[in-house]
Amino acid sequence: MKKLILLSLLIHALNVSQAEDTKLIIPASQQIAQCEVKQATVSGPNSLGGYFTSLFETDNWPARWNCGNWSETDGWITIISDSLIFTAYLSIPLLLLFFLSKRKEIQYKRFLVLFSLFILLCGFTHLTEVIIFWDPVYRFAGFLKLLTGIVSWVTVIALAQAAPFALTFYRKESYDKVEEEKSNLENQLDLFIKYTPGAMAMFDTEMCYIKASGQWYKDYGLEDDITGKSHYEVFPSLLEMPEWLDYHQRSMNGEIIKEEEYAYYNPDGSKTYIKYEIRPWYKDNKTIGGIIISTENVTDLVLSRKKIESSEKRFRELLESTPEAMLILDESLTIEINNREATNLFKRSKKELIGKPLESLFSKNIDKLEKQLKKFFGKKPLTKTTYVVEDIYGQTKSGETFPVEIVLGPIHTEGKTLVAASISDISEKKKLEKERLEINKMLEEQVGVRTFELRKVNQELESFTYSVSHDLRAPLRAISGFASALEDELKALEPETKLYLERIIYNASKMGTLIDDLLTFSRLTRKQNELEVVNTKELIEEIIRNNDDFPDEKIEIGKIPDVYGDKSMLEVVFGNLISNAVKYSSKNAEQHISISGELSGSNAIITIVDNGIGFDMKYASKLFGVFQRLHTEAEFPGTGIGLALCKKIIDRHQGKILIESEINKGTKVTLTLKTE
Amino acid sequence: MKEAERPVEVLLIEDNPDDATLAIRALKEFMTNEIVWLKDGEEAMNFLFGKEKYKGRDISVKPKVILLDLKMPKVDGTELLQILRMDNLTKNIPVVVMTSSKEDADLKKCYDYGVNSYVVKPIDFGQFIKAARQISMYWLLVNEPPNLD
Repeated sequence: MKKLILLSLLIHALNVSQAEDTKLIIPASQQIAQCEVKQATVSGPNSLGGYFTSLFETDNWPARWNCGNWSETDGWITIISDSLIFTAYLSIPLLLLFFLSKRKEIQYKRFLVLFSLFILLCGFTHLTEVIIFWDPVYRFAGFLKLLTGIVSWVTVIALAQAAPFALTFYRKESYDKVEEEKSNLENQLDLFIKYTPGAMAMFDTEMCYIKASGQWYKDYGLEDDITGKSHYEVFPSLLEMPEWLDYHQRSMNGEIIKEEEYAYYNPDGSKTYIKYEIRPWYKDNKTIGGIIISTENVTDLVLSRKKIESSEKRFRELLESTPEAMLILDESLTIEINNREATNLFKRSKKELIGKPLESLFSKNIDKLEKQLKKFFGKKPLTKTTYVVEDIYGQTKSGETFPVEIVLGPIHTEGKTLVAASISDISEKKKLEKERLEINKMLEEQVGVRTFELRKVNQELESFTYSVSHDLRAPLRAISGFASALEDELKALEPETKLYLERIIYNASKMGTLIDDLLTFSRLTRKQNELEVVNTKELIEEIIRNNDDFPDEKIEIGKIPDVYGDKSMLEVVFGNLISNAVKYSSKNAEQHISISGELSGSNAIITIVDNGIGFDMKYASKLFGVFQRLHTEAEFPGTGIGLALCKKIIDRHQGKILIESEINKGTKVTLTLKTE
Repeated sequence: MKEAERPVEVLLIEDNPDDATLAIRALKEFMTNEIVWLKDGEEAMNFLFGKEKYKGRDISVKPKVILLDLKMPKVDGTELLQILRMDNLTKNIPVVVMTSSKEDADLKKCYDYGVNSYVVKPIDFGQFIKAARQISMYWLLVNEPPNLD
């Protein structure tokens, strides 16, 4: 533009000088010959008003063709050149005006208008030069030049004033850079809007979307571009929510409206909680350009908070409904929470409990309680659920004390540990315990007395059996001994006399056996079991080997499991049972006795089978009675103590003994004993 | 030879005269050796250690075997056994306990005190004789006592 202006100025200057030059080269002779004026005297206007009324006065000058020696060539070159300049100078402002009318936003319009006027005026000066060739409007030409001169200088001054400003005009490169930066910025802004985690939308005053963040699209399930669309077109349901319409309106008027937790129901019936803020935005400092709505889905937060609140509520209810007095203590060992029962127990109001230290509530052994409590805090806190603190006393407001038992348990909350102390009044328990102890003591004394008495009786019994064992046998031995001696001394004896002596000896011996059996029976009754794993098979083999009356070859011993019992007692059992089997089958020429066993779970089942004379099962109930016999002494000698003894021993082993028999077929004894 | 001077083969310590008579009778059937019968533990101690009425007896003459009853007045069999085993003079004399008692406690005590044999007196006289003979024969004839001199 600057160049353009300079150029036009230059052209104009050249044109002016050219025109002057043209004048100068008119030959003097021609000038004289044709420079005829209508008026002989030169008359000028007398006043300014006269000057303007006679602006087109031509009488004082000749037409240019008539003045000087104009060749056709010279004249027409000048005329054509001026005409060209005029048309060109007329076209430039027209073009500029056209340009201005098209680009309304263009700046510095007044410069362009001024410049257009200046060019136009220059053009007209050239036009007058052409006219002057025929019509000598010199006065008008002078005036026009004056006007042009003034406008030219106004333009010069304006340009000079605008020069510093014009210097700041961008070159195309820097303009591009600015454009690029602007575009970058827009890009960044778009990205920012797209990816910001907040759901935000910017509206114009018509509530049409200007921009909306990606999160906004996501949160509200929008897929298509909503830019330019009305908010109420996108969310028609809002039209039925006057509150929102009101909010939008209020915000358009400059108000900021926000809410932390706003709930609405989704079509599927679920609830969504949002946090929102509606605020106006300003075009400049004053004019509101629209509003910005930002929302955040806080459903998860709200739900988890509600969950915590409800669990806290439940915890409180639970605490209140606990029949035990509960105190919840913090790290400084002051009471943070208590339940109703605690207020009852300590006869203090909630106010008199919360925030109070332990010392005010307990007496005796508080240090023990505190020590235990402190273990739940610190670097390595105890995590075991419960600790019981005993021998401590609670204290009511009035100073009354009562024994309590405190169960402590840690409660781990987020970043904080509390201890729950459950306190029970054990006055009643203590009283009962005291009573119980007294009763126990009394009972123990009684038991002591009884035990002493029993022990005494037992001792007496022992010395009695000892005496029986020793003293009763001695006379028998004497009877038997002297009868034998007598039989020995008296060589020739009547057979009857001899028989009588033998009867004496036999009976004495029988009496001895009876005493022995009775002693064994009583001894076993008193004896303590000495339990061990007994190798049954070995025991049975030993019994058979040691008894000369047992016919080894007729006794078959099979597999027999070990049993758990008292060896000496089991020896008596097997000794008696084998003895019976041998005795009652002794009359069978094909005497056979078989002993075998098997395991059944943790039991050993041992059977002793003989092929003896057996017995009638209807007498089976009499088998285990002391002195009960199913056979006469003459048939089979015996005292009637053996099976009673066996039964007693097996009972003491928590085992079973079963005897099955059939006359003349044999007897089967089945023993069930433990193996462990 | 005075009674106390004669070498004693068998010392029978028994308070029951019947048992003693029968035992002596049984023993005499197969041996002519000297049998001395003493009525209780106290008398046995006097005899063995030469005290009271046995004062002056040559105590170096020791019986080859002692047949000892357990249940006796004053000093009983187990007490006597304990005393004999603790004294150097008598600790090597074989002692056979012959008793009516089958009590385990007695048996255990006797073995603890170092009895050589423990025999329960059978009531049957035949068996009694058999037992008495077997024991005495063993200790008198078979056993070789250690030479202490």
